[in-house]
Amino acid sequence: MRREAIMRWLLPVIILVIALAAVPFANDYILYVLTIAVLMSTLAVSYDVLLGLTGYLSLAHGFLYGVGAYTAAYLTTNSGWNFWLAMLAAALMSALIGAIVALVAFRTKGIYFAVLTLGIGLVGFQFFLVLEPLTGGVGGFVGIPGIPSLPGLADDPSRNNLVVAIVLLAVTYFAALVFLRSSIGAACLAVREDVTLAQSLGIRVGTARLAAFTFSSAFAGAAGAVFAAISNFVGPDDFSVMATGFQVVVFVVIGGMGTLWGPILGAFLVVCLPEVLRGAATYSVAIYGILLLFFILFAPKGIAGAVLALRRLLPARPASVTQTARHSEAR
Amino acid sequence: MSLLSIRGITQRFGGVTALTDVSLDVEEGTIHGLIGPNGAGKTTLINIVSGLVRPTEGTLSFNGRENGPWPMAHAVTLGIVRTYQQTRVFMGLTARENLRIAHVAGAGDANAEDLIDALDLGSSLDRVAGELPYATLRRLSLALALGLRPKLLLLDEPAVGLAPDEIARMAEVIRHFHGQGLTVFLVEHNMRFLMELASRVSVFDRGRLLFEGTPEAAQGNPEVIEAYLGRGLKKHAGN
Repeated sequence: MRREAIMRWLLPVIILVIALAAVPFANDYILYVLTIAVLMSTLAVSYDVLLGLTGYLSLAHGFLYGVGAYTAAYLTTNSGWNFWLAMLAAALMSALIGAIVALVAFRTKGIYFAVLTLGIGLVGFQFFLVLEPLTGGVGGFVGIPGIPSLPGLADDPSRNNLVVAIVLLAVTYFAALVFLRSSIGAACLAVREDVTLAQSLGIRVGTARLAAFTFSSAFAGAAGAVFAAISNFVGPDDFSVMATGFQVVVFVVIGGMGTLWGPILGAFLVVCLPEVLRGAATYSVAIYGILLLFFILFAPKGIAGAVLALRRLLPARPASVTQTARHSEAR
Repeated sequence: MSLLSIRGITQRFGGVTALTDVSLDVEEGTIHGLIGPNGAGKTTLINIVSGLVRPTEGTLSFNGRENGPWPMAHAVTLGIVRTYQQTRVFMGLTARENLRIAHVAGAGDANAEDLIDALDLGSSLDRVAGELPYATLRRLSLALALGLRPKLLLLDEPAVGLAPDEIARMAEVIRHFHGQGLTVFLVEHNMRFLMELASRVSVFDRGRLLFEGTPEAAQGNPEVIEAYLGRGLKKHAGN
């Protein structure tokens, strides 16, 4: 518990400090890659609240991310909304759609839940294609205004984007921690571990799952809004099941499910590695697959599990503490 | 006044009738035992009262409320809480997290310290439940139920698989909380354990209520001896 708590708080703070420290030195390309990595981390943390906490594997997360992106794009471009307000609206819209998806999807469980959300992800993708007046159809949504400048970053949109992405990640992360510690968070853990026992303890299983799904959707929507403003363009392909929907699963599984900080590392690894290995760009998809294979075979608890295992090799600590950490990593 | 009234409960599973027209009352502040051979319908009755299974026919009233049984989540808020015959806790979480869940699920006013002391869980709090010894797990699963502050606790064979000293400890724990005003409905195979604790017993045989009364009267009742206790005795006599 204690060690887990330390990692939970310390590691993200370190990442934030390093990222912010790097801001003054990096060039635009590095800034862009970092911004995307931070944005994907936000998506991964939001997704971990669902997959890690409740154990339900949804493949509709990319679609909900897209709902946020299109909502913000439409409001800022066509309705002239202020970006911040549009981001809030995007989060609410994704939360609303997410809640509807959850009400349908939670009628099932296990593999059926995964397949049903896969269907929702595929149908959602089609909606982005056919709702041309709202989404721009297959051609995508163009000319989305950028993120308004923060004080002191007026002449530097790349740095501005990164700082906004980092702030959103921080807000998402701490909101997720609060969620985990709340009574609903405890209820979600109970649901993940043993639904029947949770029910016999009077836990409102439906409410807990719905809350986790809605929470997770809202922050995906906010991340979508930032993505739309950073890219100035969104197209359906950005939100397909095989792109984002599947990618978030990879982030969370590689990072370590249910830890909240692990998925940040997972997202950074998956986003940055292909960039670092640019010479091998042709093979980046293969590297991606190999990475996934490696983790599933040799480090099923993800990076977070590996980090904690390494720390355990260092001088002995009270057994109870290590066991707790190891087990909570396992989930 | 009876806390729980069971009225005309019948339960059929397809062609099998597990319970036939069962009616009984559990008085407030008692430890009420439920005995009977395997397949007599004891666990089925617990499943019905706790809201896990809906009966084919019959009703419950509890603490002045009519029209039961209620779905499980609702039954818990009314104060009906159960344990399971198989040890059932959140295996992947620590004992502390288990208790936190029970605390959150209950009214939130459960005295956690008292629970931890009474059930002797202090040294196991930061260990993952899946790694705890069996006897500790039994006590943790009881703590989960007690953490909800029930009025009526349905215990499904709490002593099963325990060593004699652990059984004595379990009896002590049940008495401790009974002393604080808890009503207990206790299904148990261990006759000595049950007879020591219970002030009333109901005897079941093949889904029917055969007898209801004090433990002493049950032990002296010819029908009960014939249907349940007697079989074992005859077999022993035959040896």
